Amino acid sequence: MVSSVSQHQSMVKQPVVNPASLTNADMKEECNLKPNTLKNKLMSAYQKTTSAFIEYPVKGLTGSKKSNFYEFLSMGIVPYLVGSATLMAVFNGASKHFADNFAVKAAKRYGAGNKAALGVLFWGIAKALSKPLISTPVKLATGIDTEMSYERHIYSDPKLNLKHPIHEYEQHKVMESHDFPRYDMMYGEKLSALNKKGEKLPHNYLFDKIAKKNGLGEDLPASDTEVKPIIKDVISRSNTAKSISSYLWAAVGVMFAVQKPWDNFFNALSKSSWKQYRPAADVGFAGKIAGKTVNTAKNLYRISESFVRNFGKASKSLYNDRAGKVFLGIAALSSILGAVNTIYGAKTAVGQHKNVFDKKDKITVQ
Amino acid sequence: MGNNLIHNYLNNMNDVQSQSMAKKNERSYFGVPSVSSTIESFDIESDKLIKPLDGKGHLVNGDLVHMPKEFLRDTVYTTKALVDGARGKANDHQLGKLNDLGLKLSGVAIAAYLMTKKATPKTKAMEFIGFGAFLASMSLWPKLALELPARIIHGFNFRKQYIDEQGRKKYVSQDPNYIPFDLYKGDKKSEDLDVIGDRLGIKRDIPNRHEAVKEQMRKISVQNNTLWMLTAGIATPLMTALACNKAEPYVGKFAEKYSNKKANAQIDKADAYMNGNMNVQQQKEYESKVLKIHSADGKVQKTPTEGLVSSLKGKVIQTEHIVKLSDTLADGFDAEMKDAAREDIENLIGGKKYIAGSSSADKLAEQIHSAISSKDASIAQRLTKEQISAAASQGMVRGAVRDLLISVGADVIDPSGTYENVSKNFKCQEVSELDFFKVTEETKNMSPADRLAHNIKSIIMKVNNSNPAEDFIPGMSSLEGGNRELKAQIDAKLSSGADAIARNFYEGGLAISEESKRELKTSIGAFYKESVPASSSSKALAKTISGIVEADTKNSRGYVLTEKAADAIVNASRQIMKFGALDRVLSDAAHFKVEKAAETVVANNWSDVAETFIKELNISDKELEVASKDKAYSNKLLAQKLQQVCSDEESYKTFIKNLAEKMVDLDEKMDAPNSGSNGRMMSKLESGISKNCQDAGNALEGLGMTSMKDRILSTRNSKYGTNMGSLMSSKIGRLHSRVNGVHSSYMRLLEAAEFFHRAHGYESEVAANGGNVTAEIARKYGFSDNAEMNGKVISKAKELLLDAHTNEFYTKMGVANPQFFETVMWSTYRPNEGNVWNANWNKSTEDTIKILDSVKSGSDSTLSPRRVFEGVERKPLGQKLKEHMNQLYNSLGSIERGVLETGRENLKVGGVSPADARACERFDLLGKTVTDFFHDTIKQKANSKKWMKIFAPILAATYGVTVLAQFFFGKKDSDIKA
Repeated sequence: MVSSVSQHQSMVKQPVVNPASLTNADMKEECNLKPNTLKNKLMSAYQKTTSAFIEYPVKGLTGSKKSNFYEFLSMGIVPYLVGSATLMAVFNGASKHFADNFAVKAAKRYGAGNKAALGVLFWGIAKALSKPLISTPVKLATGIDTEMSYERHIYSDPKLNLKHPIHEYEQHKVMESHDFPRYDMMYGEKLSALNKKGEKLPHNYLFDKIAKKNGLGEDLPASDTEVKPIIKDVISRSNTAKSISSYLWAAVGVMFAVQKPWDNFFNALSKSSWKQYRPAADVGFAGKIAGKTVNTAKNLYRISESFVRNFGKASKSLYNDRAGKVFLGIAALSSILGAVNTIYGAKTAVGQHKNVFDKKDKITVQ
Repeated sequence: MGNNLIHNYLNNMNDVQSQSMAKKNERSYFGVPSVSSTIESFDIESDKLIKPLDGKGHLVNGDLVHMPKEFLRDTVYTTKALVDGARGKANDHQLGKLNDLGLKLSGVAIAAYLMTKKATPKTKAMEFIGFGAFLASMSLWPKLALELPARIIHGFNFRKQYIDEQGRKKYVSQDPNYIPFDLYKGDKKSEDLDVIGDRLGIKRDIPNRHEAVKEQMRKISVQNNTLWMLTAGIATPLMTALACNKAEPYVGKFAEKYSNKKANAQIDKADAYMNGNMNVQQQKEYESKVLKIHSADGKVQKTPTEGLVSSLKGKVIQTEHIVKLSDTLADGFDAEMKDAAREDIENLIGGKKYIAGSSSADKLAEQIHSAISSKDASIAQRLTKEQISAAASQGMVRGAVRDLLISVGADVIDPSGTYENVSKNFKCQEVSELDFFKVTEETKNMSPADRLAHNIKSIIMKVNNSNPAEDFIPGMSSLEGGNRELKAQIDAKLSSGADAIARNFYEGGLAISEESKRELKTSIGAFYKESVPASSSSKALAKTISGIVEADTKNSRGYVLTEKAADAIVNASRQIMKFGALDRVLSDAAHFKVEKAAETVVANNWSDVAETFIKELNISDKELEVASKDKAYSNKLLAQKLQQVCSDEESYKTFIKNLAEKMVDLDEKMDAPNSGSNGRMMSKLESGISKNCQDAGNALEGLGMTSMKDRILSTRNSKYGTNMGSLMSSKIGRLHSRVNGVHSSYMRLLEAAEFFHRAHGYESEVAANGGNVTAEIARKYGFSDNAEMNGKVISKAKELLLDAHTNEFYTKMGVANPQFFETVMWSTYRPNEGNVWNANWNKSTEDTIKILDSVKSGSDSTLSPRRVFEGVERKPLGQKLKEHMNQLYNSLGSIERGVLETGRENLKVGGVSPADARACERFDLLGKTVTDFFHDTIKQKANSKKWMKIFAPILAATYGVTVLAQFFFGKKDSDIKA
């Protein structure tokens, strides 16, 4: 087992390697925790999206035995993005052909495709940004980080003896499953990898912390056993809250995108608003290049300024709108209630999941 | 390795058995069930083996019959999932369901929000229909494009669902590593792996056939699921868009009915409110809920003007304040109305006044003194600044008191002239000699302002009952005995006026009218004369002083918003608020009925008629495409198609009848009242608009706002109509113009068809007669008996009917021969014999009229169609056609020709007087040209077809590729495939 993996591993780096020269250090673990940084998140999303568009369809269409449920779910991004593009095409197609119907209608329809694009963008952003509204307070209050993520690394079958073996990666959350949370990723041995100082953390390091935070006490002989039911409880409650509230925020994102002030932004974005660069007659080639660059930078600055300005105006417009205010309120309330309910669950789970036995007594089951 | 558990178990079997047998007796005492029965039944020798119970998991029957049950089950499941999730007990499957719930919630939220942004009920409804269509498309696409073809091609349903032991419903193929093949128990053909194997074409004689079948099923499922993910993104939005496109007309019909009912109710309620047909309760409710001029508890809603007025009342204001005041008062109206408001406010307030006060008296004194000093020091020594200031102050207060007396006389005592003598006494009082600043023992401790007020009052309110001659104002003491109430009013006014003068004087805001400001000059002049002996230099100085005073009174001027003017403005603002509120209600209704905008009654009907027109003309897709881009071709195509359809009796009859049926719908929808109501809605709307304007105009006039009244309800009449140029006439004019314009455009379509039909009849009969026109043929078709002339007339008339604007009538189509033009007019618009417009029409036209007359009202097949704004409630359409042709003949055929004088009949119908029809009425009478009508419709039609043409094929192609791809799915190896 060890040799086959290391042999395969070697193929990535150099075609011919003496297996005997490989050490344990050359081997990768199958699953590794990843720090929750923005960079990691973006990289994960990028990896997942590109795989969903290229790798998984190929595997799926050929009916590969290695196609799994994770890949099927990941491919959900394909209809989301393709569908959004189609939606924009439909709107823009319509506005072009109906433009001479009624002036008012035309004005309203103009930019419907742009607004759809903005709607898709804000839908995604609002959905993503709303999740920390639940997970951050939960983490602060209970010590349980529901967003802890790891990468699963799958090696291609060494028996195939591929010259360029394909590595596969899956992006997972430790607590994505309520039924089977990856508790193994939460032990000190795994966590140590994240520790920048390189310290080795105790086996139950994280469970101890969670137990203490949730009032189970310190120095427990088996804090992991004590804490696991609480984690399950938190997963159920926080996922429920995230499901409902993130979609409500996503809806608010769409409402935000249809606000009037964005018309100004689309106007600023339009080709006709692009300020042309007109070099004077005596400007040389290098001067022209420099002038064009400066001009482009100026235009980009103008556009981003317009974005920021209209972002503010659109926020105001949504907030000043009665219906907008109501939906903003509902979304905010769903986040607050969701977080409070999750924290409440963790704090009160102590009694419910308490072992019927007193751990300090020795008990023999006959 | 030690013994494993099974060994242990079997080895200890006997011990356990004996132990339990031993315990059996003790335990049975407590009635606890023993395990002996199980153990007894465990007999390896027999076939009584312990077997697990059958699993509860099963495949779901997905047919239509079971759908409602499954739907209910899913709903209950999701609800329970939500509860469990919130209580921390939901499993992964339940959490997945909550994700779906979130998605749906978000869709509903977006649709609900967008609905609030849409103006018409149709667009509001479409938001939800759009979302529903989206959800439906999402679930329909995999069913239609993947599941169904896969069942046909491969013989099994890869999207079959199952319910597992824990009651979780899933697709069998969702996780390819865990397909519950154990649930394929063979109860049904679709659950029998052998049958599925046969359908998949798996060889019968291979070893492990079930495994081969399973692998084939897995592979095809994975392939299909992947294909689903790849195609859904393109298909779902397209299906949604196409579904919405198809649904829109149906939604439009419902929405129009709903809005029409609402508009009718608005008209009815406004009518009842204005004509006093509401009880007090209803009226209050209407004012608070619809007009919003009262709050719910009956308080009058404060107008923006009111706030502004109360901040300006009693103060000196400048021109910009007046502008602001008039802009606020006429907010929401045009610039002319604002100008009118300004004019009225200026009239109410009166002109600018001299603004004086104690500090300005000091300033004036300083100016005068320094002027004297610079000219003549000796004179300057004789008078001090303080003395001059005192004289100026006396003059200012005298002027203000004079104004007060005049205004009390005019406004309080005698607004209607009843107490003429008394009011005259006020006006005639001389104030020039009075001293309002004297300090007595009694008043020395008072503040200057209080003293001044006291002095004014003690002088002007002086009454001596025993000696009326000592009354300051003659007749006041007798009034005390006679009309106490009036006396009290006068006293109150004088007293508050005196207070105001004193206060304003020391605050620097004392306004003195143009007339009364001479008191200032008189006072200073008298003081100067007293103090300085007359000399030539003193006389010259007196002139200088007089100039200085004059300049001061000119420079420091301003308006004063008096209480009376303030009240009038506030009242006017309330009237205007009410007028505006009612006007909004009526304008909304008018907009929905007639405006050229999306989803109005007129716009919807217009597109119905246009649709019918194009349909009846049988335009092919190819022709549509070309004509939409080329107006010249479109014109030619129209003439050709019209000729075609009008040449055949049957097709002609269907053509005009179908068009007519759509046309009469318009008047039905505009005019028919809601059930439970009565009257003609458009006439009610018109009289409502007019009543609202009249009420508001009259109320404003009563408040002295005559310019605003004129703007709303001018009394200027001309020979073209009454109230020309007023808001009222433009509102009503717009209503008529829209209705007339659409009516005429419709009539023009019928007129063109009628002429094409008649000309064809004439031409074929002449041709059959060897090219000769008999008198009978000429009479039958309304042409002359000159064949050559008729040929020219026909081609000119066709051109005119299809393509002419009013200017062609002004220039007589460039025809040099007036006689010929008259013949064209006659043959086209009044093809009859004799000079009586409604008699002896040719037979061909009469036939057409008969066909049109047979078209009945859409709502009642025994009644003629409704006719908006034409005097009578109903009118047969043929009759209307005849009238319209005659109107055209009179007003267009006669332009600058004086034909009226030659004895042509002058017909007056529906508010349009052809005799003096103005340019815009001629324009409305002619309507849209048939070529424009045709081309615009064609363009619209081609556009929507193009849209369909772009997107429908993309959807079809996606579908085709999706289905086709499935033929390549599954293992094709010859070692398993038969």
